[in-house]
Amino acid sequence: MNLVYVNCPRCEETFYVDPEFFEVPDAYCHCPYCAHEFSVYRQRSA
Amino acid sequence: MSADLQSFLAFWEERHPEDVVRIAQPVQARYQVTALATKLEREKRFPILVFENVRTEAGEPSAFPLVTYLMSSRRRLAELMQAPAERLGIITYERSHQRRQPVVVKRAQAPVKEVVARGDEIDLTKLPALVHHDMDPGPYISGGFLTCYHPEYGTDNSALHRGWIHGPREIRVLLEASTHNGHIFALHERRREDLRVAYWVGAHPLVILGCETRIPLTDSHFAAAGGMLGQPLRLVPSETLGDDFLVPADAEFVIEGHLMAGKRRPEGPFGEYTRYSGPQRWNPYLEVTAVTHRAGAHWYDLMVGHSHCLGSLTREGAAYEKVRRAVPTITNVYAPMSGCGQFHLYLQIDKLVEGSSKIALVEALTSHHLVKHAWVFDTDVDIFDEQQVMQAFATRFQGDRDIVVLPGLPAPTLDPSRPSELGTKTGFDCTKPVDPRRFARKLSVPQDVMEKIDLENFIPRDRLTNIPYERYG
Repeated sequence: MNLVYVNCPRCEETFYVDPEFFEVPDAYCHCPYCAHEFSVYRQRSA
Repeated sequence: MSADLQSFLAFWEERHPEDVVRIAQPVQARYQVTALATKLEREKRFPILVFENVRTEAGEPSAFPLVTYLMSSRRRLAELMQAPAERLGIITYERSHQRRQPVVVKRAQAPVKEVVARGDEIDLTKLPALVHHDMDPGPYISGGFLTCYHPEYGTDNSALHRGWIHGPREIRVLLEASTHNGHIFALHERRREDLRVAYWVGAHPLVILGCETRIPLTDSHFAAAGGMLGQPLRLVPSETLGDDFLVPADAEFVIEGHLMAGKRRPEGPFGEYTRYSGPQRWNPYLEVTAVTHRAGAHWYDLMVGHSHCLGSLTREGAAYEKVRRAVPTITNVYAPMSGCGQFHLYLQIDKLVEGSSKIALVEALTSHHLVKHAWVFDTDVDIFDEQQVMQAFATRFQGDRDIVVLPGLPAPTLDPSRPSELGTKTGFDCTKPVDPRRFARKLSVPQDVMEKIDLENFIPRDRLTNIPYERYG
């Protein structure tokens, strides 16, 4: 399963997303804990 | 007999009152129902659960009872299909080839039209949809079939697709490109057209089984469901998708809407059948145009991530059929819950020819993309008893001689160990040589002695039940 852990910048909870969130400019993550929405586009380290 | 969920519940409760548990105490949709189901599963008990007082995610009492664990008992489904539990996968598969063309009824004859909501009247948050596991982002439709129609063939296609209820009129849907519904949506997106779809929730267990069967895109799932049920499915025109868009008249709920072409929103993470959470994805969503339901409708939940027979039965039947063409002496097949009901197959063959066991493995491994590992055993191994399965694996298998490895094949998307889109399928030949003189004899006590010795003549029953149960034995 291809997944990347991310931290919600608002509540700091951890969850995981498909790598496509780092590659699609319009895509944004939705924190399942606090519903905050944020982008991780191009943030992934090599 | 009427072929709907509530009629089935009434029939089953009268026949087996011990197998339907109604819970009147208030329970939260968030986690509490799953916690209760988890504890029952640990005791290996799978009654149909009817929760009559569910508090929604918003904290309000839902007007609708919730039914779950409907498809979790192999024993129950076997009795319903008048089949031995050990042969249920094979018999299900045979029945999946039968077709009964559906009939169309008027709206007045369709219970699912008893209550109709459109536009601002729609509020999906009032449904008792569950938040099953930690990290799920909200309430999910887990047991709903998503139906659409093929633009060229005109055939209906129905499949279970998880749907996150995101507000009063939006559902975010996992619609993988490899699925038939995903393919139909892709055809529409290519033309920049939204796709008309309907979720329908709550049906007779045989309708659920029939619609879950994998069939060609040119075939109708509604006709397959009728074949499984043994009577035609009753359909009725939709409210907002046109009279040519037919939905099941006897469902508990129908949720109509459009999958929006070219648009995506975050969906998930979601706890899946693998018993792991899958990652959040950038998925399509459904704008809901109408909700219709029975008066007194019951919401149906598939307790995903826990024991249920939906995938395993169809997996067994398809593998049996494919193996039988090459190895006619296959005697049985089982997709155990320890393999998530999908990834593992235990085959049993009457081995007459050296090498036939390996052919059986190749056929089973390629019978479905979700099958990852397969084992083949002789007829003296009870493949439904994992103690016996592991003993045969321990004593009849050698890693260099008895293994079949098929690398570079499509791997299950939700397998946490999947390295990429391609993975490796592996088969384990746990059969003895055909010539009995080339293998040791199993331990046995002469049959006449076994029959003469009655344990209770030596250790009375009340004393026997006091001896500690040993889980490590």
